[in-house]
Amino acid sequence: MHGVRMNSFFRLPQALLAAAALASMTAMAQPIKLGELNSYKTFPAFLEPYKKGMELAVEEINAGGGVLGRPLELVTRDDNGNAGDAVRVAEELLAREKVDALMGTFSSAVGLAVADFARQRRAFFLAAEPLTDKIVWESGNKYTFRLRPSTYMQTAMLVPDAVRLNKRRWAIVYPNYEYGTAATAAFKQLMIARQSSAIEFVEIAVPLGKIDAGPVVQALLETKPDAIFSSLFAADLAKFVREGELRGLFRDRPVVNLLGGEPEYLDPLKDEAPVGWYVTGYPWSDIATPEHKRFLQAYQAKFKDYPRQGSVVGYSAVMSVAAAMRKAKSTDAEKLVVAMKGLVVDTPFGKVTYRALDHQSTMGAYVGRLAVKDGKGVMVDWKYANGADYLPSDDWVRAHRPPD
Amino acid sequence: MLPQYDALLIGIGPAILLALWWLLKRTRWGMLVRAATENRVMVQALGVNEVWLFTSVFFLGALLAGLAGALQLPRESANLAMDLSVIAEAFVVTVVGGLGSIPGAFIAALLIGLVKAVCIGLGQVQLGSVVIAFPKLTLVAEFVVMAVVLAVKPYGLLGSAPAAPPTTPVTEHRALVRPPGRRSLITALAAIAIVALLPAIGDEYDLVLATDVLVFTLFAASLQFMLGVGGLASFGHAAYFGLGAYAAALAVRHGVAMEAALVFAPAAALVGALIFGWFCVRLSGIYLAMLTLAFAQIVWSVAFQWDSVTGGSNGLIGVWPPAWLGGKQAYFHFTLCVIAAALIAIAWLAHTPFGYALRAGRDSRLRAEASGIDVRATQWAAFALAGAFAGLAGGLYAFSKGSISPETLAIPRSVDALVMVLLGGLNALVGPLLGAAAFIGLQDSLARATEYWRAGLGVAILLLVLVFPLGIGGAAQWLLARIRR
Repeated sequence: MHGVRMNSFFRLPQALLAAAALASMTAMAQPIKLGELNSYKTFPAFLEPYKKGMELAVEEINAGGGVLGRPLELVTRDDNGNAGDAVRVAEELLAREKVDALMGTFSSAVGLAVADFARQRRAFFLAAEPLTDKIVWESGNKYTFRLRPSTYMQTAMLVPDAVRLNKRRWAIVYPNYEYGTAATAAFKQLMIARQSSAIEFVEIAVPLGKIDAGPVVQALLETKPDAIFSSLFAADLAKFVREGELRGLFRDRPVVNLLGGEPEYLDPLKDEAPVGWYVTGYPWSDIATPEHKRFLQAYQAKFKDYPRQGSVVGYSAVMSVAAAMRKAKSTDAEKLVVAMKGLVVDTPFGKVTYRALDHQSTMGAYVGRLAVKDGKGVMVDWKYANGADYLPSDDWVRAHRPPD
Repeated sequence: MLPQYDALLIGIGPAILLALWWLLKRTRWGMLVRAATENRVMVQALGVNEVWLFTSVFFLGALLAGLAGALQLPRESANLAMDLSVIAEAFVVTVVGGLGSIPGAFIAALLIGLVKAVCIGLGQVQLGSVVIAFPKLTLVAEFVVMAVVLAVKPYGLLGSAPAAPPTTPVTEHRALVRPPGRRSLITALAAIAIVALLPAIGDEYDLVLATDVLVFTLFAASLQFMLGVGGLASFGHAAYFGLGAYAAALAVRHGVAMEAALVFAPAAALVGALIFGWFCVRLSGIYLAMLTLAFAQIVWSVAFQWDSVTGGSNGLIGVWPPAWLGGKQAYFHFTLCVIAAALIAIAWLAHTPFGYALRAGRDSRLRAEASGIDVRATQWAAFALAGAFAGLAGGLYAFSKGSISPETLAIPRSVDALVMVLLGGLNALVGPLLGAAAFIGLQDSLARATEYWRAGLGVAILLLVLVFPLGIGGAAQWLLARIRR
């Protein structure tokens, strides 16, 4: 008892000081509110690390004095994984929380619905994760920006390796929804354009999250492909790998798998990680750039855990909005939109630019091959593919993106 | 080449089938279970503790479900998506096989698995100039199988028609249904007038929530009309909500004005409900409910995959009301007017001779038919009307969100509607309103208060159901009746 009293006695002045400082801060500066909505309960593997990434960014920004002299505050909401609820949640963030900017979303459908809502309400929206090409191109709008490389871009990053394999007959397996069909279409289009020798494709679409791996692998074996392109992820990928190994599908057959190297989907495979596959992903333990090392140390110090792909996305998204506000010297949506055009942001993957042309950032992804090390799946022989090098031509973008 | 574990599974399935068959047909316990299923009261009268008996059946069922999960584990890691899809599939297998028939369930599971494997195996097939991608059918294969089987064999593959009692036993006391009098109408109009004043006290988000509550009230009311008045359970009511939403959204995207496009919503849902209803009213009970689910899933898969028309998994965006309804307040008042009119129409319908005929068919099909009521036609009409009202709700929903995506048609939305109806009370006039308000209010407040809002929502609903077995509306009616006495 005595010790406790002593302690609190000595701490009292400090506490008073802190309280006074806090009071003066809140009196001077209302926090800037970032309204974030995401499908936390639907895609926890990606979004829990994503949330931690955002928290780290907010902590660092506030430790450095905040933005425009005001602290940053994150207001997160679960959008229940569907577009209707997401729009309701976005209404709540704008109307009741009076947030200064909207960000987040995971699936294409939710991302597009919130983007269109942002257009309607003239609110600033940074789509952090949705991979759909449409959100910046066919359905792009003035108020929406997107951080991650799109399905088309990530597919394009794998195409050079696929072309080098010089295979004739490709089997394509993909989850039956927008991401899978877009990846398949992009792969076919790019391969036909780049490969000089003859090429043909067979396709199998599987229901998302419910792959019937045995029959799928059997059907693939019967088509006798020379190589396989897959855009499976999460539980579907794990089942496909297990059945495929069991039935010898991958023997002497190169496989190219979008997103397969992201820790979110690679780690659950453990020592079953399929060796030699060509993937996009995030080899967090091996990236030696100073900006990534600093991020890695800060993240591990705060959470006692290593970052996943989601962590980088969450961290970079918050940093992007903060940078836009600093450049705009305002939180006004119209001014933020102007500031975001051509904005350069420091991320753990290096500097990325938000293009004025289509609001897509030039963030890239790591491309490499899978291997097993100490009973865990890792990426080897990887290199960073800069997003700027894998975009469609400016003319194509102008032809497909509606004017603001 | 067959993996060893698959070979093991192929052996385990029939072994469990045999064991279950032996247990039910050859043991005393099985005999008691079969007897109690046929006549619970009789078995009770013979001195069998039927509570224990059914608890043991429940135990065995849960045990086998757990075993199935454990057997699946080497093939896939446990994941959060294992919930609704597995429940739906288990129901489908049971119903396709025929309730109460274990060999039937076995054959049904085999049939569905085979159909899926064949779809995947066929791959893309070129027929003339058309390429059919059979693997895409796996999305709904089990539901297509179920729809076909139930259309041909109304009680599943090996099921038989239950020995129908001459009258459906009325389990709860049902008071004489009287049409609401002038006082009720005045009360309703006064309530609507009060609700219309909400913009004066609430903020913008209150209006968004209130609009949602109104939309889901109509959705729940249309289901309640089918379920409570007509006795027709629907597990796929989202189909009509979604049909309405998509019809309205498509009309607007093709240049129709929003006011006119809204007419397309109930019209499209009516057409859909007329077609599906024609098949559904030929069945009864759980078979009927599962057929509605099958149709809903088929509609969902069409919306999900028809990229060029429905926008596929992304759905349709840019479905906003015109400028004069652009404000939250204007849209709220507009919704209130439309929905109040629709709700009054439903209440009126329920108390017309048509409504009474519907109730007669529900309570005693034989007697109703003997007194000259065409029960099937009455039910078909009720099915179609309920669909149209759900479609209207869907249309209003699309314009309030500005976009529409296939989740609007999916199983969870149908479940939400059922939960709202049961929360509100199956036979209470204000049930849908109370149910929708409770559900949306809980979902909204819990989602903001805690990360574990889904668990919170489940517990809250469980508590409400335990405290108010007749629903909140039912409890309110009971209370009112006591006060009046």
